Parts: sequence; structure tokens; C-alpha cells
Amino acid sequence: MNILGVSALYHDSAAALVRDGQIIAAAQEERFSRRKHDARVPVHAIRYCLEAGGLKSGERLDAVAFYDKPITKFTRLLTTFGQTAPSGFRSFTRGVPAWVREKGWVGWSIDRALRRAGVKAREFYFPEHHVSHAASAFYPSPFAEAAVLTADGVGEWTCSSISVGEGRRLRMLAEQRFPHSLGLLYSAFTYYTGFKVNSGEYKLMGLAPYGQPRYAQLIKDRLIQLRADGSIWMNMDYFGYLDGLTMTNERFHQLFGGPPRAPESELTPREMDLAASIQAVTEEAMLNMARYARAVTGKRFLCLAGGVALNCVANGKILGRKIFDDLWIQPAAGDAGAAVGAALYVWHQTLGNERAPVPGQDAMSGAALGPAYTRGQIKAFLDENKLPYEELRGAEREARLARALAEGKVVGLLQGRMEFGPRALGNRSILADARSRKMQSYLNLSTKFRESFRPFAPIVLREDVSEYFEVVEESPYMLLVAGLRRERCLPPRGDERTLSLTEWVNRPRSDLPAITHVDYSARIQTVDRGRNPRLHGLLAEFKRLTGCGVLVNTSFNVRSEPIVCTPEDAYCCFMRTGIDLLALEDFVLEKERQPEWVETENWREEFGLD
Amino acid sequence: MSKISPRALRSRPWHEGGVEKSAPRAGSWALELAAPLVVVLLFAGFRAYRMAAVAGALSLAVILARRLHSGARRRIDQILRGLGHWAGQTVTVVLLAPVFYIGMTAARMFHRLSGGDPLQLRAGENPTFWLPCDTERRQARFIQAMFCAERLVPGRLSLVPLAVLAALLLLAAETGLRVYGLRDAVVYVQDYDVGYYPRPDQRVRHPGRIIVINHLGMRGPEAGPAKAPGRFRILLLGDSTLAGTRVSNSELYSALLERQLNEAAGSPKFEVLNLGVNGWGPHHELAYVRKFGGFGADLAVVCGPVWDCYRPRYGLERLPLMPRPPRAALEHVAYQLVWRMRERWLGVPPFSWPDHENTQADAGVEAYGELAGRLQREGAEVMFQMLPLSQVSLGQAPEDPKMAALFQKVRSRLRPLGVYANCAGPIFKDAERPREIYHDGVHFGPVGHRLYARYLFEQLRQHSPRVQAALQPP
Repeated sequence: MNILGVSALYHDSAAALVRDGQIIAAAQEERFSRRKHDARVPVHAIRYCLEAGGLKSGERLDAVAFYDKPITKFTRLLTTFGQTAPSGFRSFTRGVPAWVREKGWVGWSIDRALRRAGVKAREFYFPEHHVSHAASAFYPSPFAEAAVLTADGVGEWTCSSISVGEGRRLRMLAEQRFPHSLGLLYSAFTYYTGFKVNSGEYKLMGLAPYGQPRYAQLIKDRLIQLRADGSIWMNMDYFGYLDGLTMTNERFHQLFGGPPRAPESELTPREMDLAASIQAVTEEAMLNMARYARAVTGKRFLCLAGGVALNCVANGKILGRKIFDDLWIQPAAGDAGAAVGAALYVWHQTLGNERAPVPGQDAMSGAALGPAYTRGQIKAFLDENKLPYEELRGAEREARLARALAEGKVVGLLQGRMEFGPRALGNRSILADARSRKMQSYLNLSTKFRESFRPFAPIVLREDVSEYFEVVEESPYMLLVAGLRRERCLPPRGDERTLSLTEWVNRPRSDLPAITHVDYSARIQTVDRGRNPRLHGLLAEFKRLTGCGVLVNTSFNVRSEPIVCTPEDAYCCFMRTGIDLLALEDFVLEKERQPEWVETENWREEFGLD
Repeated sequence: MSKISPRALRSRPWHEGGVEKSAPRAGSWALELAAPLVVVLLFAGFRAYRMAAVAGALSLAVILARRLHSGARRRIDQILRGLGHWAGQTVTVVLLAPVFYIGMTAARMFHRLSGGDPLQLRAGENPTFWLPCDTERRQARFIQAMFCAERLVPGRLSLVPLAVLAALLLLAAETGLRVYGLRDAVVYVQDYDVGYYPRPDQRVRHPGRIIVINHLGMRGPEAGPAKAPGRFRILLLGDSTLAGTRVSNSELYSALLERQLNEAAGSPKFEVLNLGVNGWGPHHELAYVRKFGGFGADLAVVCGPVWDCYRPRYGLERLPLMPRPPRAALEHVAYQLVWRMRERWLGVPPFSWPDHENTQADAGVEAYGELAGRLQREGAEVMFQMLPLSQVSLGQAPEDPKMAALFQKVRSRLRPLGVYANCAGPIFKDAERPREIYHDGVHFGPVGHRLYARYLFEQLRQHSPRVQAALQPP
């Protein structure tokens, strides 16, 4: 039985195909349309899923599961306006037409996309938004029973929820409702510190270690009521999203002593402190929620999903406090992952099919659920364009790439199926030597063209993780932050706060300076042979050459560009950036040997700013 | 060293169906030409040929510029997008402002008064902000939220919202049409000989007026088929100018004439019957009198415009008249539309082909002659009071020669019968409020009815021997 899960129309639209409970394919629309956070109905992702599932024109799809209930969402919209009128007209004129024009007819739009592909759907299901998130966390998890915690901006009404998963059953026990949302609180600070809402939250998280949480108490005193069970109530006198077009209002700005930071302007200690403060409050709320979830469900394991679950610092703290025996986080924890959740929910909960979790092994296939390209396809592309390459196989290829990395070169890697979710986990990645002092700065400014303060994540051999990091045993999806082992860290000199941001970033803090954040933490990805044997082989070869089993792994894109999907996308990104070597499966391309790149597109303007 | 650029890079069909890049595309010629063509045709339809030419030239220039220069295309698209956005915003604001400021504000007031707090804005002191939820309660909420069933079959997915939208639109249209007065309609009896006549005993409400059709099927107060002893009965025959449109019964010139005659007589001696029916001509009137008689009238006055002579003698029933009261305003409108579409697209049935204009007019004149003779044989004095074109009666145009010739034909036909025939000249030339006399250029408004009643009263007093006699004091 084939079930297509779809999430769309808010941000990060995606499609996923589940066959008899097994996730066959999943991809975000942005990877195909090359428009970051593309929210349109994912026609290309749907076509890809059908293609991956071998569903040909004329065949029937058993069900389509959309990840939320559009009409319920609309009633929330109207209820909100019914509470704010007569103010909020501008917001009303934006929200209502969009809904009438498109959002109310999403089922029809999906049906049309399917019919264009020649496929007919038998039935449509509309699981609730947070039910889809919860399902995306619980059903693919390795746990037979677990508490499930979801938190994001807002779904229909629910902003965060606690559910309990037992076998094939998933039951929601408690929820917090709009507008009292931890996700929206975080987004309000994202906006206030000059980053883009629904996009720049991870930057705020990356900025937090640079600051002191000196506003945390003010936030708790004036902006929110934070209870011991993790529930929050927001004082809407300070927020603008109910009746305005911005997240915060004038009272908020007065409270924190000025207007929001202009995008792309200089970051000051105030923004750093604000980031640290909201991060501290979020961590406190998440920890309290986790404790409450443990208390009300009595389960030993926790599954996490929703946009807030991408806050890997908070995730690391939940794991570190040992509230649960173990933790599993949906790698595509945002709305994209809800497409998988919706489809799995229909399969298990609605249609009553049992699940058989394998302890220690999740059902996400290492998140490698996107398209892969054959040797023939890549060779044809390279030959047609007369691009010089070497074809290397197995150990020979690993040795070549590891040698380049050890020489301090930056390697772009396209291999296997594209990852599903916001993280590049080694199949669409840029790799570099984590031991290099200049690498963080070089990658940020010359390769990714992004803000200099942004940290990079390490990949580490699963078997070596305890050699480098504390607490974490396994983090295959780069969703946990842990500290470096004390003996690897260099002691702080104490004058860091007097330095400029660039100087502070460039000051070495450990023997792995490129991946050590200013608070001696790192967002870890553990690499094991089972999930990604080729990346494991490369890392092992690098270790053999250098004695270090850690590399920098960052997504294969530039700022504001979606992660590359096809070899063509990868080649363009390779030629536009400071990447020295490109590996397209077994084909290795050296920058020096490539034809001269003549830029004809204003690609930076096209991608815009995130 | 060779060179390569993103544009020169040969792309491969990586995926089935391909991927639409966000770069602007030229679009198809057909699509680009369609919009300006509509504008040009619209102007041409209103005979604004210069505007059509300017719009056409401008559109062509824009299309060519878009086609020939990518920079211009980008700029033009930007401007068009801006204009479209602006227009859309304007329409949105205009449409949504009443919904928001009236509907939403009322909802807020209702919540305030009822103590409701759906967003928990005043719940800051609660011990916890977790809300319990279980499957059953959530299901109930889904049902309340209209279409959000757990499962939806594709066919219903598009039909249900469409059906609701259509129902809402129909409801709004019905309400609007009812306000306009289209819920009620005068109902007619289809008759083989006469064609049609109003069904007796009707009371129809239109905004600001009530139309009462009496037991005889005439617009006016109740009257018996035979006149009461001692009364002087006047039968007025004619078309919609007599039947009256957009006026109440009491404002009709027939009612006003009756009042004036009775005032002049000093007693309620006169009785004026209004046998005016929309769309009637001489053939209808003749057939009606043949079938139902002259109601014992002392005086029969044929009223109406001279051009009624052109009304055809065949297909007397060919008017969109409802045979029964409409159940809804939309039914009334639909009936009218269907009738007109059938007439236009299916053509006129062979048995009701119109005559040649002159033959038609001659037949009308002959019918008037026969009508006068018939009424005389019924014992009535007969008089013809005909109306010229409104511009002539208002003194704004000279007498129309064609109409004058037609009236002379009527007069010639009636002369041997000794019937007085008059066609009013510029009778409203010196009226104080000439614009209020006609409400549509043909039919009288209340002012017109009042003035014409006075004119008719004078005509009867001067040219009807029986009226003169009746007005003599006993």
C-alpha cells in the first residue's frame, strides 16, 4: 500500500512516500525548485517520490496524507482576528486572501499535481499538524514505547504537545495552544535580533554562546509565565503577531531598549546577550517539558519533533540531564518531516497496521531518502560538458579525497541519496580539516559566503566519539550538541569579550579549532559503517593519514541556497566557491583543471538573503 | 584554456517532468496576445475605436519589447506585477474592509460580553498552561471545524468547498435580488385567444409599492363584472403605460382620473376600470373584449402609445411572463434569462414569425377599428387617447412624421364609426419637473401619472358627451 505524505504552503514543503509502513522516499521541494524554504505545493518532490516508488502513469496511489487540517487552521485565523479587531486589518488582508486563494484548496492542488503525473489518489487524509509531527518522531524511532514531545511555531491551534506512543498507537495527552508558543517566542527574538523568521533561528542559536543571558530574568518576568511543567503563557501586550505584520511590537522594543537590529547590520553584544537569554529560557522550558512528559507518560524513552526540536543545544541538555534513558529526534524535525509523519500516522494509526521497531536502529535510513544519480547519468553530464575528471573507485577514491583533506583542501561531496531534512549528513556535504585554525573563517567567508560567527559541525567516527566529546554516544543526524573533552580544550584567556567577533572566532579553543564553538561545544554527527559506509571509509582513511577521526561537515550550498540536489547544482556551487575538489560519486574533479568559469547569472541576488 | 558558464552548461533531464526554474520566462504568444485582445475588443464593443487603437498599439509595443529584450522583459514584468499587486490589494481591501471592521469587531465584542477568551489572553495566572486532550474531544473539534474529517475522498475534496461556496453565493444573490424586489412577480394566465392576461386576485409586494390585481384581473379596487345601478363606468384599455410600472395602485392615472371625476360630480358616481396589461397591443385588447365583453362600460377609452399598432398579431403569448408565483427571486431571474436565451438562440417559432412592419401596423389599425366597433356594439361610447413619443410630449422634439402618419391611419379608420381619437401633443412642455414625468422614457412616474390624469380628465370633459352629461348636476 502506497501512502504519499505531503507538507506544504507554510514553509519547507515536502513529500514522502511510505509503502507498507516503510519510508521509500522523502524530499523537500526547495532542493528541486532551488528556492530556499519553498512553501509551494511540492509538485517536483511529489513526482520524485512517485518516480522513486516506481509509480507510473495510470497507476493509483492508495492514499495521500496532508500534514495538517487547513480549515481548522483557518478557524484559528478567524478567531484570532475576532479577538484583535478593529486592529489587524493589514494582517487580515494578507492572511485571508492567501487562504481563500490557495490554502483552503490544498487537497485539490495535490490532486491536480498527481493527475498531471498521471496518478490518481484513492483517498485523502488530514492528520493534525502536531499529530503529524509526533508521528514523524515516534513511528520511525527505534522505541516500542515512548513519550513524544513536539514543539514548533503553531499548527492548527497546538503549539506544543505531549503524546504517548505504544506500538502502533499514538495518543496525545496534553497540548499548549496558540498564541502561547515556545517556537513563536524564539522566532520573536530571531526577528528582533535581525534574522529572518522561520529561517534564521539556527543563527540565533549559533550566536547564543557569544553572549551572557542577562535578559533571561526579564523575559520570564515580563514576557512569559514559565511553569515548572514547561508550559508557557505569553503576555501578548509585547508581541505583534496577533494583529500585526511583525513578531514584536513597540512595547517589546522599549523593554529591550531599542528597535530591532537591521538585517545584515553589525552584531553587537546586545544581540549576543539577547540570543543567550532566549536560548537559556528555551532550554529551561524544554527541560521542564521533558520532565513533565516523563512524569505524565511514565515512559523511558523520548521522541522529539517540531521546529524547536532542531535546537540541538536544548536537545543535548535534555540528553545530558538523563531525564530519559534515551532520546530520538526526527532528523527532519521541521514541517518537512511532518510529511513523513502524516503518511506513517495514516498507515499505523488510521489503518491499524502494526509496527516492528528494531532496537538501536531507526527507520529513517540515515535520512538518505532523496534522489541519487547513476554513474551513467553523471558521466554523461561530465562528458557532454567536456569537464575534466578522474574516475576512482573504492579505497582509491577514499585515499584521494582523504589526502586532499589532509592537505587542507576543501572537498565537495555528492554521493548516494540526498538527505531529507535541514542537515547535510555526508551525501551532499562540504568537508574540510577540523584541525585547521583558519578553516572556520575560510569556509564562512570564502566558501559559504555567510556570517563569520557561524560555527561548523564535526563528523566523527562513531567508535571514536568518546575520544573527542563528552556525554554523547551516538548522534547520526547532527541534532545534538555536546562539549569537547576537557583535555582537548585550550583554556580561555579571559579577554574574549573585548575582542571583535572575527578575532574571537579565529582564536583557537581546542585542537579541533574549526569545529569548536566559543563555548567549547560542537554539533556532532557520528558516522557509522551501517548508515553511511562510504563516509565512514573516508573518515577512517583520513584518520589513518592524520591520526584525527574528525572532519568539518557543512552543507553543500552557499548562504541562502538550498543544499545541492543534482550533479549540475553541485558543479555550479563547486565552481562558484572556494571548494578545491569535487567528488560526484566516483568522479573526482579538481578545480585547477576545470575550464574557466564565466559567471553569467547574478546568483547571489537570485538566492537573496536568508 | 576553455571557458564554461552556468548558461553554457548542458543540463540533463535529471528527473521526470523536469524542474521549473524560477528565472523569468517569455510565456506563450497566445497568452500574451489574449489579454490585450480582450481590452481592444472591449473598447471596440463600446465603439471607442480610438481607445481600442491606442490600447492595441500600446499592447503590441509592450509585447514586442518583452520579446526582444530580456532587460525590458524583466522591467515590464516587474511593473506589471506591481500593478497587478496594487490592483489586487485595492480590491482585497475594498472587499474585506466591511467583513473585518463589522464582522470581526462584532465577534470581538460578543466574546468580551460573553466572557469568552479563546486565545487565553487573560489566563496568565493559571497553574498550568497545558490543556488536556484526548482523541474523542479532538474528533469533536474536527467536526466543528467543518471539512476536517479524518478522511476525505478526492471527489468530495473539491466538491464540498465548491458546493458550500456556491450555496453562499446563491444565498447572497437571492438576498440581493429580494431587496431589489424580484422575489414577487405578477402572474399571468396563458390564454389561447388573448395570449395572456393577469391572473385575478393577486397582491404583489415590490419595494415601496404594492400591486393589487382585482377579481376581474385588472389593476385597481374590486369591481363587479356588471356596473352597479346609477354608476358611470369607464373602461380604460391599454398596455404597460396604463398598467403602470414602479408605481402603486393609488398613483395610477386611472385611479387619479376616477377621483377627479367624482370630485367634479360631487359624488362617487364614476368608476374607472384599468385594463392595462404589460405588452398588450390592439390584437390582445380585441381578443379580450371578444372573450370577456366590455364590462357594461358607459365609456371605453383606448389608451397607449401610437406605436402599439406595431404589436404583432401572431404569437400573442410571447413574453417572459410567469405562469405561477416564483418560489425564489433566483427562479424569477432564471425564468427570464432562460426565456430570453431560448428566444435568442433557438429562434422564433414559425407560427409567430413577425409580419412586415407596414402589414403589422395596418393589422393593428384594423384591430383598433374592430375593437371600437365591438365596444360600441356592447353599448359603450368609445374614445382613443394616444400617446406620442416622450420627447414630443415633453416638447423636446417635433412630432415624428412616421408616428403622425400612423395616428392618421387610426383616426381615418375610426372616423366612420364616429369615434373621437386624439394623440396628445407637447402636453408636458411647461411641466415644472419634466425629468420626473417618465421614469424610463416610456412609462410614467408618479408625477407623469398625476399630470396625465388631469389631461385625460379635461379630454373626457370636453370630448365625451356621456361624461359631460354625467357631470351635469341632477
